[in-house]
Amino acid sequence: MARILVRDIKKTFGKFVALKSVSMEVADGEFTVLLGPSGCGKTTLLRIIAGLETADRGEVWIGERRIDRLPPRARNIAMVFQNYAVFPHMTVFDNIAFGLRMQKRGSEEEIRRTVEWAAELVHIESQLEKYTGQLSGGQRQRVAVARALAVRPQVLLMDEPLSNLDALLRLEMRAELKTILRECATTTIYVTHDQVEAMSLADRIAIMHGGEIEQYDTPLEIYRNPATLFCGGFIGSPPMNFLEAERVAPGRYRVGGLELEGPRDAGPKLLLGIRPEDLEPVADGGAALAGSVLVVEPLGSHLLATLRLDGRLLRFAGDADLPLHPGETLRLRPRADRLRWFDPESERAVRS
Amino acid sequence: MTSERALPYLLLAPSLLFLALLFLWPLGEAFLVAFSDPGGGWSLANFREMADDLNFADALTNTLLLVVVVVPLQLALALGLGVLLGCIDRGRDTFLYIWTIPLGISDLAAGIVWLAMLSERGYLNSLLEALGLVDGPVLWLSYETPVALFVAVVVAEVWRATAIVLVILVAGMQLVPKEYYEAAEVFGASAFQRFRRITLPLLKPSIQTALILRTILAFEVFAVVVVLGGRDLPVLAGEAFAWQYDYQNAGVASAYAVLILTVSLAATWLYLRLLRVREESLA
Repeated sequence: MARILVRDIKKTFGKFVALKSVSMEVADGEFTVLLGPSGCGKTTLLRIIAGLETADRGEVWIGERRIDRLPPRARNIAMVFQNYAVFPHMTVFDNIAFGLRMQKRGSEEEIRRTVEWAAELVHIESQLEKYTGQLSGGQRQRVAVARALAVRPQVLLMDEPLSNLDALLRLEMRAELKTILRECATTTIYVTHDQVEAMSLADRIAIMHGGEIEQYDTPLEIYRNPATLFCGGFIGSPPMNFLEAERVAPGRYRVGGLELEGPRDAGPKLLLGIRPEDLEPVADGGAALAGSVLVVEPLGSHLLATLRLDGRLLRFAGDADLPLHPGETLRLRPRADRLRWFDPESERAVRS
Repeated sequence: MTSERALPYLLLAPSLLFLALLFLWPLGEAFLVAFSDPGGGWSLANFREMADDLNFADALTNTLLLVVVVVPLQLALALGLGVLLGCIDRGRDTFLYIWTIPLGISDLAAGIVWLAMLSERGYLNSLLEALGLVDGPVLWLSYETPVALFVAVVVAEVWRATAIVLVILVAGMQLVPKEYYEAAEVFGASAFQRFRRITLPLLKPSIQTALILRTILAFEVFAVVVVLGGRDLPVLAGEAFAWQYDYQNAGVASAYAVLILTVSLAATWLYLRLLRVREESLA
């Protein structure tokens, strides 16, 4: 267990810049998720921390040790791979024992005890004598996790470990992983492109986009206060709405048919970011954003509606019992304390 | 329904027929000839004559020795070259093509290449003389220097036929997912341990194929030996040829053929046993 420090990492593949200049710190025992679309550099960053890829420049520290020049096996890390990478020619036991044996961690008896401990943690203690080819995908993933936990690494790296599982199994494993990893309290970096997975697992999420970390914060903070347009659009399902806003007076902006209080020292044109659930229906009469309902999706717990407003789409999440029908006009007002403003040029949030 | 089920067999039939006519038939014939005596009955007379011959013990020993020396040497070399190939990113195919050039040459031509180098007035002697290491031409390929002759045959065979082992092994290595090596590396395996714990076990099916193929061919070693040493280094296939064409004795020649087939089958069986791959470990 130790903190991870990444400082000014740059990596190019030929002409493609995978990482521009990435720095981040993961506290001891913290679970950090690297989240972003494919090609954003998240897997490259993970592989650089693992030592499977060499950065063009920059430093990686684990605890008080600078490790970016060390081979992977000297870094005191463990890794869970996207396609498991459990060895087909070994039994489950030998797979889990692999790291312990390679690193000569104790006698065979001690190794056996550690393997059994790790196997029990992921509930595969009854499969130890089987070959991994006889296991299902979910079970293989469990073996991969047990193999990683068995070496009791300072840092655990996970590269989209659930993406090869079917949807139901993924939910189950996600919940289980969270329990297991909390129990072990190992500093963990977890790569995924699934924002729900990221939100549900992470202590902190680093949102990556175009080889940079756009925001590094707790899931709720990113959800409430996205630092960039990209973060607001990537986190949340459906994503944040963005509406064009025009300044009518210092600190006053017009959005659709509404005048709202905005930031005082900002430009004449801004974008208003508002979450679908932060829109509230208003009774006829008052000023509102009026849109025609295109689609209504009753989801049981709540209701999703897509509206057309001044030629653009607006998503609204409301009470499941709202009597909404396509073709109707819906009048909405954003909650005043949930208004988020963005500069359309820099695409960054403007604090009001 | 029935015709659809029969179709694959119908399509396979010509190749089976072809094999039966051109392989099984002559094989049966060879057995018949080997086990018959001049009177027309069954006997082991041909085998007795073969075993009593002055060259027989030498031919058997030489062939076995060649197999025992050449095949492991080729396997080791091919494994080494294969691992090296896996280490380079660019130009891998070029190296592979260059190394496989000897495969395109007939074994007779390969023998002649090495004869040009090792004969009395060959390149090797010229070189050694130029360097002042020897005073005059040295005889490498003669009856009086059986060790040098044997070594020459080994070198020529290794040069000629290692590439086929390499091709089979490289094909097998390419099937091993990169993640296995990365996982092994992360979990603490050194380069040697990765080779021993990952490459070798996962390559077992390829190694088996390569060994069977190379061993069978090594038992049949002929042209290279004939060119380099004539019958100064007797081998089984060479003796079969000599009995057939020099002594005009098809019976003993067939006995040799049966013997070569038997040892080849025994070696194949041994490999299949020793390098058995567990069904359940194939993912």
